Amino acid sequence: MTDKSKKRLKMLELWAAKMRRNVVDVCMQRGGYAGQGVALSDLGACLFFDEMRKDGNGRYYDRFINSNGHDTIINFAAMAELGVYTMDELRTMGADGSPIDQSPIEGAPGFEITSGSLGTGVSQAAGIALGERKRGSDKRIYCLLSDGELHEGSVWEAFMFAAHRKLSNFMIMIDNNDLVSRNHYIAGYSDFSLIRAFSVVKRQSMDFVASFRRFCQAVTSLIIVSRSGIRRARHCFVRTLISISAMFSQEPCFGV
Amino acid sequence: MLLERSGRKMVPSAFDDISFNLCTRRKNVIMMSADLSQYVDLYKVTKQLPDQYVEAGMAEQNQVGVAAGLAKTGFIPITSTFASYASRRAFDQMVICMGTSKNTGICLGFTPGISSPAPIHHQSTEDLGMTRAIAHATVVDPMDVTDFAQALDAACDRPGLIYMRGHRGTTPRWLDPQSFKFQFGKTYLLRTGTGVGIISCGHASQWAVEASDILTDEGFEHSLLHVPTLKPVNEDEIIDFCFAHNQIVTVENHQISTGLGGLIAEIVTSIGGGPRITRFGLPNTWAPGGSIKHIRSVFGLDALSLAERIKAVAQ
Repeated sequence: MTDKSKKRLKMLELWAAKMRRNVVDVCMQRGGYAGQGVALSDLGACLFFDEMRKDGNGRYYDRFINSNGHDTIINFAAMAELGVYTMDELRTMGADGSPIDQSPIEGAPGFEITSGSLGTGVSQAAGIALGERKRGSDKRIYCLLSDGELHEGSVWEAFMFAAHRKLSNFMIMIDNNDLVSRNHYIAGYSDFSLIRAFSVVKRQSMDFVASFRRFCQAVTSLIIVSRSGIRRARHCFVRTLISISAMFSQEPCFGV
Repeated sequence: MLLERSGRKMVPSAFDDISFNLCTRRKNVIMMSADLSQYVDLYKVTKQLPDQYVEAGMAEQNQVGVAAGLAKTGFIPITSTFASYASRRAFDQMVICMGTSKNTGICLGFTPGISSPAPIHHQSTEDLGMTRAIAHATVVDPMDVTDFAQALDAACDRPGLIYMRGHRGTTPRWLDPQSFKFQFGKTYLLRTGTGVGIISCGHASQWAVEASDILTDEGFEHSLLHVPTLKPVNEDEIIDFCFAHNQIVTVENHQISTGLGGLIAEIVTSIGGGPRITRFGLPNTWAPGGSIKHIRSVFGLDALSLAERIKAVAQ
């Protein structure tokens, strides 16, 4: 690893640590999705502070759609660092009358979709990816969903749609933590079924592949580096993060 | 605004022209379909304006979700499928993806109510009630080609979720496009009189006009109010109409609860001391399959039966 890469990883580690601190701080007030927040802070740090490009006016050029409302704590944790929310505001999360929803509604600062109904975010993200492409924009659309959301049939409709339209500006990340609320996890899918759903996608555009490889490496490194961090999360911890795009770029799936 | 009987025409493949015209004038409109394009007369847009057409596949939930995503990039998506699928299969997406958004999202439901020959699964006799219950949504049930085309055009400038029932195939033009001007919420007095006040929407406004023609010929005093917008509706106009009559009859291509009849009852009872309201439509039952002529006769919604039932109300 070059010195530059090491420095970049150190910075991301710091951002992830700050995000975890924010997650724990917020969830210590009156509970919250601390597990998801702690587990996904590495990914969030890579997305918000490295991967997603800015538009030069302090806003993000690329778009991040967090399909799973339970995971949006990482959006809040990152946006606290970006100054979109203050920690005092976020500490009111879950309190009666608080403007901060655990699972935010479209239009809340930083949130493009209402993410409370599981599995509905992928279609919307696919629609955004299609719309951006129709506009001739080179924006990238990142969508995070959980493996539990794979129980929802509409995500498979969205996968097939994205594959059929060859949405090469669209990246789906699945938090493969083998957990749902009652631990009755129905593993009715496999990597193979995911690949089949995406069987039309042949390859990503080259610059996206390069960018994505960089992204994968950063997340992988971070997850490995940070394993000794907070491990006793409420009920969730990242075990594997599958990226469908990674499969089609013939990148190794990464995990810990 | 109601055309004379001699001027009423049937328009073939109306939605093909309506959609093509709309997409030609508005380049940010995207027509969508869930594998039913040819069954709702979407031909010209698909062939001549492929950039403005997105086929979502046999996946209604995905169609509405993708549409909401397209809306977030500045397009005006119009999804199309049968009303039964639009309402029952993609209700969550309508509420969550489109309903909570300020972006325009239009969902068209074709072959609504009993206007499909296939029973229950292809008929949607509860969609107006379902969508009317969505906060801030707009719900439109146009009567013919004239108000369908105008309402769809107006919907493109309206924020949020718009659910609209569609007309496919060869459909009537009974409203005069010169004098009829669609506005959301506005009600339209098609026949003026005293006696029984008939209120109708959608396909049922055609049925009400047919009955009204018979009643007019017989000299039976009545009025006829067409209410294309079920939500938001101009309550003052409804109240003025209802309290000007001793008897109100509602006619709808829908279950008699939660739809138009329910709406009128809600508005009138909020004042109190209003007229009696008799609701014609589907009385908490499934409709059989078959031609619309047959299904209407089963429920006493054919022109002759409807006219007789309206007269009976007055006695």
